[in-house]
Amino acid sequence: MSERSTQISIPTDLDGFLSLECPFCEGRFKLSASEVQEDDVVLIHCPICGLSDEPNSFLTSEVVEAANIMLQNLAYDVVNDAMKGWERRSRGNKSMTFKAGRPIRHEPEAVLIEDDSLKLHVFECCDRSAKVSVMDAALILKCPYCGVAQ
Amino acid sequence: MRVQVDRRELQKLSLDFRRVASELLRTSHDDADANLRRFMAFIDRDAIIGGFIQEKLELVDLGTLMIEHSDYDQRWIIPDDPDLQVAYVYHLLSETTKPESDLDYFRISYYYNRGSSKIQDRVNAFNKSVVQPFVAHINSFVEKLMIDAGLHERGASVSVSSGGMYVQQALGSNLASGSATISESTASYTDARSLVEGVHKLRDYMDDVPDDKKREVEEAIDVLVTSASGEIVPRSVIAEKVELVGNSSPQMQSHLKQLAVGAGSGLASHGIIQAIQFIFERITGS
Repeated sequence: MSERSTQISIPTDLDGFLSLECPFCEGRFKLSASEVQEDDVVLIHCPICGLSDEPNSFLTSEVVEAANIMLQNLAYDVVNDAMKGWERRSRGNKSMTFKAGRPIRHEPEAVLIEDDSLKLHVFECCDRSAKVSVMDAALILKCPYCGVAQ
Repeated sequence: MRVQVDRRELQKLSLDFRRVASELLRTSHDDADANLRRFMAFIDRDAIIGGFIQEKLELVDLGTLMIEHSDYDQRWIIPDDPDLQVAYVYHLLSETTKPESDLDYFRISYYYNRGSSKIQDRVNAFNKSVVQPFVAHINSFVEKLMIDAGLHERGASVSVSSGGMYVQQALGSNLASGSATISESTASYTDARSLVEGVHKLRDYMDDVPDDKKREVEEAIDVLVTSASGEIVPRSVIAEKVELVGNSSPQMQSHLKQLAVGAGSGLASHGIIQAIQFIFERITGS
């Protein structure tokens, strides 16, 4: 069976910041998409709780849900194509016929919208920035790249 | 016992603590026991976090607390009170890391997320329900110290007592005077070797210990010697043994006091000295 793959595009805000969600405290924040994708960024520290994990673990629940729907639809395509293939192959067979029936319908894909209400905070230690909510900005924030409390 | 820390030291402590805590919270089930040992060793070794936990442990009767907060199916029932939460979870994790313990990470997390047959899912659920709130309490404590130390003001420092209370704050001056200087001038125990010898001397008073307690006291001194030698012994165990030894004879209690008073600043953050100091203060009511 041939491999199939799909891609999900995660939107950024006008400043090029990407929404992320901490896998530990579930706090929401944003980092520059280009900075997160740099090779030397192996771990990200949540600016709110300070705990760290791999960048992929910080994908928001909306992005994960949207990716799951895309994968589900991809799986439906595989099943629908297989059914059609069996129907085609059974056409010349006099002793057995196979009818594919109605294809499984795709789930509607989730629309990802960027929240633009977060406040920019510059971390002097690494000269990089993050966006956090006004409430979180009042806390002791941690640099997402080096983890030092500011 | 007071520990003087400045903003930079608290930043390092916070960063180091969050690093080991993150490793435990995202651990694979294969590495869970090793990551838990590292996490507990960090807590037991650090004077500030260790003092904070010790204060919580002294608030409760752990035996009763553990019995009251265990379910028929052995899912841990975390107390609502934040102080009790810290004591309960620390005790649970500490018991799990003891070499003679029947517990391991697989067992303590077994009854979590029972809908899943995967061990990893159960470990993740246990970490989320039990370990993460414990980490958050410690994190919050360190951050409050940072606020007290004047995070945005260079040269600010904060003095932390063994129980984690913030007792002193100043700007631009080195506060490593006061009790620390007095300790240095009268210090009889300035390094690990002298501390080991000092603890060993407790055996000189064994004749004063009632016969029925001798074996127990000897074992307690062995544990204290082990801790003084630099091996990691949980603070709760040290405190228990110090109390046992101190209560076994007036001479032993007096010798413990001398150890606490005579410890130099180099040993100020040593877990055993902190425990002795804490018990000493409690015994004398000072």
